[in-house]
Amino acid sequence: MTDDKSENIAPDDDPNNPSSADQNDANGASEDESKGDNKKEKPKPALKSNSKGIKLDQYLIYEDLRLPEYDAGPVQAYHAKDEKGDGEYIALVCEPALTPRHGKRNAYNKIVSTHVSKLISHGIVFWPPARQERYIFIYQKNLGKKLLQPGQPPALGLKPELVCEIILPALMEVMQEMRQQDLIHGSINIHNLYDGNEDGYKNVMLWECLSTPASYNQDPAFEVVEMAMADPISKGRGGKQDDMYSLGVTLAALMRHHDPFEGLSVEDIILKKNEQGSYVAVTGGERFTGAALEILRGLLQDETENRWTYEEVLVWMGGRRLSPKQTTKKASAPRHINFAGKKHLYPSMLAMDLSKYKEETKRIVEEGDLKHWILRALDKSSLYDIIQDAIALSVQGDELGYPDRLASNISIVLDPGAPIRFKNLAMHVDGVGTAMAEAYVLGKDKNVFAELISNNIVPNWAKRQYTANVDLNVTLQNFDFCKKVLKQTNIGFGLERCLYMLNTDAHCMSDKLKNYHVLNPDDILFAFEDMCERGHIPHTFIDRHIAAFLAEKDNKSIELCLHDLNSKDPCQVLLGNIVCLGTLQRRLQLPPFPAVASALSDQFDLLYARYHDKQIREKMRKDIDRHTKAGDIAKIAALFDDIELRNTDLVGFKKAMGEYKALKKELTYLEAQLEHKKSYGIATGQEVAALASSLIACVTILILGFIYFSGTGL
Amino acid sequence: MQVLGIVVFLAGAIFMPTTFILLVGMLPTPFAILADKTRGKHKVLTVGAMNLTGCVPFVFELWLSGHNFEKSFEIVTNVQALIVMWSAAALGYMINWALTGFVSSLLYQKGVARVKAIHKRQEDLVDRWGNEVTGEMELNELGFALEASPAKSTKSNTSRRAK
Repeated sequence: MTDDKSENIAPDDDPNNPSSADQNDANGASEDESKGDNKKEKPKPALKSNSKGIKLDQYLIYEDLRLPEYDAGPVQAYHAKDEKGDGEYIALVCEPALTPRHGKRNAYNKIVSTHVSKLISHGIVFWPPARQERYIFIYQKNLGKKLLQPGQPPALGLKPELVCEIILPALMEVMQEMRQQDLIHGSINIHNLYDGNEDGYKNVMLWECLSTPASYNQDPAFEVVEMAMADPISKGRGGKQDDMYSLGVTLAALMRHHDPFEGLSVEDIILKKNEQGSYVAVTGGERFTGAALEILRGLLQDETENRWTYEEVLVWMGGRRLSPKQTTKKASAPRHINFAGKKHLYPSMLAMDLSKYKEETKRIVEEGDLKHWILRALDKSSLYDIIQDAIALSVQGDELGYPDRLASNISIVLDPGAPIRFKNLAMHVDGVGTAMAEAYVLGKDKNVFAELISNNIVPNWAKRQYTANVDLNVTLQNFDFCKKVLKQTNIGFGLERCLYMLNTDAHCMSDKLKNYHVLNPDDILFAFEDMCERGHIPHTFIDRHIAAFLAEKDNKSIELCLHDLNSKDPCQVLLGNIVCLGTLQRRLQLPPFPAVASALSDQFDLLYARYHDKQIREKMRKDIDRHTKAGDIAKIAALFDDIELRNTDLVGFKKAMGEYKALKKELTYLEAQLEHKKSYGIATGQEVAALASSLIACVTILILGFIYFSGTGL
Repeated sequence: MQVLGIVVFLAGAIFMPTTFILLVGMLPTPFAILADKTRGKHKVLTVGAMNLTGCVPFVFELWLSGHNFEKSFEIVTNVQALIVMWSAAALGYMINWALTGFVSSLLYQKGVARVKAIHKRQEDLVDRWGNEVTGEMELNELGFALEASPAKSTKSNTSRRAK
């Protein structure tokens, strides 16, 4: 992480900084460039910045030089250069609510293709416009101009030969590399294609896919209906065949002369694809022949298993003629069902609406409308059996949540490949984590995720999956663990833990670290050190988010502290904080953190008071003051957490108590005796006198005896 | 005791001249027995021992001059001999008075010094271990006062000591 974390060079804070004018100039220039497709090319104005630049590794990012043509949705692009002033780069400044796919950066880096921009650098920097840290990707600036100019419909009307022989091989080269790296792009569309600074589409470039959650920026027209049905934030990783479908729509958009989806809502696009089949819907009824017809039919199959794979496209490109299956429309009922004022013929379209109108869902279930429609119109008694199971499952749980569970479970049965719809959310299981991250950052309702997990919606969904893009066993294990974790309200558990388990790319979303982009456990200490150096000292360091984050990323650093952290005793909580931070420092072999240690030391009196022995306290104070100055939290933690020392202290205290008690007894006795001064010691005195007198008598008698009996006489 | 009494009686009867001298010479000792109300009767021992010492030279003289009743009577009727024997008993009284006074005074001073030492030690214990060491407050299992937090109790100790 320290490698990622770059030196922060603060820009000029002067609000009158003319940089905004430059920015406008730069933006204006880029807009002029984009519009000037048919005009005579003007020489490019040099991008100039009044800013010193924000440093990431050896690159300087200029926050006043926007490059809107390279924005990845809400992720804004900025101009970057290296320190020497050579080279031009694009810096994408990620948004905290949109978890970037930095876990895939190594895979992206390994892509060897001239048709993607090389990832030059990445990391975390303090981003002055947002006054907080941001994750930044720096790419080589060799994309050129967008194939699709702003305002232009996604229908370029290019010749099929040009598309199939020049553009398709370029994109297939990228697809091959991504395939080798097990990377799913998720945003293959015509908006994401650039000319690579070459005329005649000879060097078509595909823009990046790391700065947002997978498929977040994907145009719904360019993705399979199951992905389009999901909320953009929670589309999940997707599958390789989804990328192949997007490739097919992109090829169609390059060749077609008009946009058949113009002005349509996402729901209308999905309905159109359902009604007409993707091939007809995407081509807009245009007639393609020969090679173009084959590749489009092959790639625009709605059934994943019928869609051409990468290998099949390669075979086709090699000249072997494959005959794709005829595109099939989705099965519809001969009679509609009235639901919330709409007439539905397709189960999948009905499934889309169920969660939006949960009371209406309850009505059609209870009044038998759904049963009649499935049994009579769709003629699928087996489907209704499954729906009955879903209804039975929905009954389990609290009554208040029944309509939501019912709508969700029936929706899953009616369209198993669609995202899970629960309350107002439509999520693929592998997109729940990114949606949770967004909810936390934007302060949205988080309870819906807790309800989703605790109401067993995911296990019910998993039962209906046969061709899911995710490993069902792993998914089920994860959600089962989440359910257990949710039942525990202690720090280190709860919904926060679910967030970091389901979204391994998420940064730590603690309020204490809101201005920092903490991706790894060691980042936490660096962030706290920076905070403390600036004087923003938190009362406690480890909160629910940090504990959950650590429990997921480095459980050993916190598992032994959880008991203390959950204590109601402020002393124990403080000890838990120190031990946790110290364990992190020791385990990760981090440098000293004197500011954090000093901030903690303000509360050390609480811990010294845990020792009865003043001598132990004084010795500890001396040692800890030394470690505090050195920023060695690990040693401070070791001293405060020394159970042997505490036992020694307790044993000594008990011994001292015994001594005090004995002294008190002796004192009472002595004081009582001393009150009678006249009689005090008389008995002993008489004893001594008797002894002395007896001794004198013995000696005298012996001497007299000797004198008399030796004949000397007196 | 009865056996001892019989032995003494028989010895007294056999050595009648000696017994006669001792009966007269050691007359102050029975008075001491009557006067000493203490449990150990140490004053009797003090006086008796010295009284016996005063009688011994005359007993030896009797034994060396044939141990007869006439000599015994002669010694007993000799005022000088009586003065010696009874003065020895008086010396015993003096020893008892002097040593008892000296020793009791010494012990009293020692007791006062011990009281001071105990107070000092108690203060030292409180200073080192806190007020909890006195056992005068309700403590938790770790030995800290239940009512006050450890930090507060330590501070209160300090302030109390300062007073």
